[in-house]
Amino acid sequence: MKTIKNIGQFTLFCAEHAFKGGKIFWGWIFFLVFLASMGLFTYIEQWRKGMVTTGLSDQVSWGLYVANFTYLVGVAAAAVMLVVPAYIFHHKEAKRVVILGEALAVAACVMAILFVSVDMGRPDRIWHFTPFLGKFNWPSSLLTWDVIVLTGYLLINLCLPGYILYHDYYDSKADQRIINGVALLSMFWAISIHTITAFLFVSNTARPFWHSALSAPRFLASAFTSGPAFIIMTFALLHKVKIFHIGWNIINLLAIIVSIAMQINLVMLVAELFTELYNAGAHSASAQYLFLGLKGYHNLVPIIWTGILLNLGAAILLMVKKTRENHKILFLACAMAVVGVWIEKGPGFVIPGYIPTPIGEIFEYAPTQVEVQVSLGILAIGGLIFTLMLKTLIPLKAHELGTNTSSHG
Amino acid sequence: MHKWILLGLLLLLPPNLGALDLSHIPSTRSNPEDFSPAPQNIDPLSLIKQAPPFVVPDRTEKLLTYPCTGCHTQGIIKANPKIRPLQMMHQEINLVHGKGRFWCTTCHSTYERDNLTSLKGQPIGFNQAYLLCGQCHQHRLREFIYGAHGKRIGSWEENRTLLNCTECHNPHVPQIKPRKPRSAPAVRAGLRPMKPPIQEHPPFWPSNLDDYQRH
Amino acid sequence: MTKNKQIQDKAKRLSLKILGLGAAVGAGALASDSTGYPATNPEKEWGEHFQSHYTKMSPEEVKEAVARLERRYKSQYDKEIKVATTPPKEHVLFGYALNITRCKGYRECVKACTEVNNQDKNPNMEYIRVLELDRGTFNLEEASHYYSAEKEVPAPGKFYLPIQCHQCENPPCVATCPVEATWKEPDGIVVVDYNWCIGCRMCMNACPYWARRFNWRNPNLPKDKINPDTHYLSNRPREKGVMEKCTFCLQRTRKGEMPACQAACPTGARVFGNLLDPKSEIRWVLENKTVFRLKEDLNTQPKFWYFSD
Repeated sequence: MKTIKNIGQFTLFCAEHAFKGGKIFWGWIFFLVFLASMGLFTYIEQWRKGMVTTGLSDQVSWGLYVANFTYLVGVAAAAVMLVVPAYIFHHKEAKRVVILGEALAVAACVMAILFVSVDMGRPDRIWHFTPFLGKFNWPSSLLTWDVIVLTGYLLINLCLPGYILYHDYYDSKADQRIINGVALLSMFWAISIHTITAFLFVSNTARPFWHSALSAPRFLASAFTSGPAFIIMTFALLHKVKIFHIGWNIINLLAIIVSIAMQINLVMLVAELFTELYNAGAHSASAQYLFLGLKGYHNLVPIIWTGILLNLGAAILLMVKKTRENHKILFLACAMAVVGVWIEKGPGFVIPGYIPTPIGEIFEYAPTQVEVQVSLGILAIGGLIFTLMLKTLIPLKAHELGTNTSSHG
Repeated sequence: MHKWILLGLLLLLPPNLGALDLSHIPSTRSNPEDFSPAPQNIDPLSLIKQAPPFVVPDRTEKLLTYPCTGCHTQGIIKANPKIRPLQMMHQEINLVHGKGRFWCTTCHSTYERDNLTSLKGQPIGFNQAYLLCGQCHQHRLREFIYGAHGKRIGSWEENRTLLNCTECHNPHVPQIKPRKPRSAPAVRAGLRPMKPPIQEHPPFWPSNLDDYQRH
Repeated sequence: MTKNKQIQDKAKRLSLKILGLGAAVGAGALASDSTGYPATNPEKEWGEHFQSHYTKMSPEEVKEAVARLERRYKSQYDKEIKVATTPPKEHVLFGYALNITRCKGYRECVKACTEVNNQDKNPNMEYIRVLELDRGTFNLEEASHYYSAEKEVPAPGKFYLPIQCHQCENPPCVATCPVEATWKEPDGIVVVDYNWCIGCRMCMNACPYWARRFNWRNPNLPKDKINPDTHYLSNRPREKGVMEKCTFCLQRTRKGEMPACQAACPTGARVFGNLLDPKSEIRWVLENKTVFRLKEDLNTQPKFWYFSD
């Protein structure tokens, strides 16, 4: 009984803090609500009229939605880059900020799930997934694996910080064994969500562009680039607006992670480019379409090279110690990595898998306004979740850390 | 620690179990004894006896001038076996079959006007035209009676009904002429078909594939 | 007094926030902009929303579901549409062989298919794609899918390769469906329960033959173009957001008829029959002609063969 009351009090405390803020905060909230509302109403149109409102076709049946989905699964998986140093290696600064990484994972997970949902032709039949009542084609279908790992990851990332914060709030002792166990589980889970998302594509033997053993490792490498890069940008902003002091130690640690992951990612890109293009046969048609253009069709060529150049630039800026430790340049490099990886792992991975079709037709894809608006709406929902979670978590953490916070800022 | 990580990763690999279960796939091959090798130069009639039985739709009903004895009664219009330009009747017939080796009476019986004739002079009914064609086109005949050439109509199950050769091929001009196809596929509602590329972009990188295609 | 003012201030701020949120939602709704497509959603009975999977329903439930569908089709299309549930025949496994020497690219099969299978019309959804290839090559990427209906076929130097669902014995589309909305029937036909499909399009990604089609909208199906002779697992009218595909005209073949594409082929290039019957024509073709299957290396084991004279 007491526990329930305590949980209630804790929730109230969180809710109260989530909505406290000044003009900038409320302006930001209004902006996100505007985007989310626009996305929602646009989605209602799509629901009523069908996916004819999108730019998708029988030739290119997944597009912007799934591109965002694969990218965001990667961002979610990247929280593990804070979880491991914090809980396993007891890195002090990582411990302080790990919860922010987990908040990002929650927001990214929710967005990923929303992106899959809006991509479904019959969202009204989502109950068909439920075991017993419906039919759940596990373990054969990779999508069922994805449902399991994504919801599981979402729960882990809600429960672990929830458990720790609850105990922090009441100054009671959290069971370190539970924390370690769940942290270890979340480590594997983070790798699994992105591997399984990659397998979703890799399992299609009919599409040689996806059907590559390198796809999953490349997903992981790019995820460990873009996720921590995004976290660095958030931390830098929080630091700048003096909401929450983040030690530069942890930012530097993350910057090294981003730098290494980006280098691995680029090495794999080169390996892929060589394999596909040295003896370019029919199986490399999609890669040719993506990187060089195929038979005069080259919608994706400028986009992918923009992405590659951004990644390359970010890699160079992050590799050199002088530029990496300059916080402004680091911010820029991280922004480049976030955008570059989005291009590479989003549209640059999903769309060329369909071009040409398995029977050789070239039919290009461009998203419609509906897709763009719904995507913006979902990103705004993710932004809202992340913002409100930060608003809740920061006072909790500040409460624990006391005056120590402000003295550095 | 490392061992556990590896084991954990292995457990995460989802097998496509459906693909492993091959037990339900029936074999489409028979025992070698069940079918005999292709017979060479065999008499069409005995070939037909070996094959599953079939019928052909009645052909004579569809022939406008059948029975031929309607005009070609002995004594009224006699058969003229001489090769000549046709003057009065049958001028629409343009005999290109056989590249000049044939004349009407090669296939149409001179004496039993309502029948066709084999090269040996045996009468063949219009409904059995495939026997006539099969004299030269032996391999086609074999494929026809087993269903690999020509067309089966009606049911796939029993009562094989095959279209006679003459249903598709005009025996006088057997080759089928090219014609316009049905409409080209459309793209789905709301999308426009791909335009041919305005300009062929020169390849950024010369590829082997391009070389191959150029030759 | 000051306390009062504080409360007033608080209320003012709160109302401002609520107003602001409302304005943001409203502005979002306005900015959402509607697209020009009509929304033509049929009125459905509640039972249809909660209907179970076809293979999970009892015979009575199937009967109810069929009656419900027939009622809906009647009101939706103003036409009596019969939905059969003919079971597969014993000891029958359907197979198809296509003679690429005979195929002349007339696209008669494509047309006949759209006439019996109640697909979306204008623009027509088609299950069969006829590819025009250069003689001497077999690279599908060099094929012409949209060869003109104005020029005569067969064009000099070309041959034609019709592709439709190959009804694989090891269908990757079935393996990948998260809700088992698509499965292989005992007679070898891969079918879709249109009332169970969630429209995720995983199967579309998995198919190496590009044989699956998606209903991007509610199909445009004029009354006079409806084939009222339908089967639950085959050509009954579909809705938006579900997958469909060639079923070798299950509604016809389970009654012993030929598939529409075979019946329409003017050159007799198509051989259809029972693979389990050693006396069938398809078996003779497989055993006596040189046959091949598309992308056999993917281990999908298609029951659709190509052969030549």
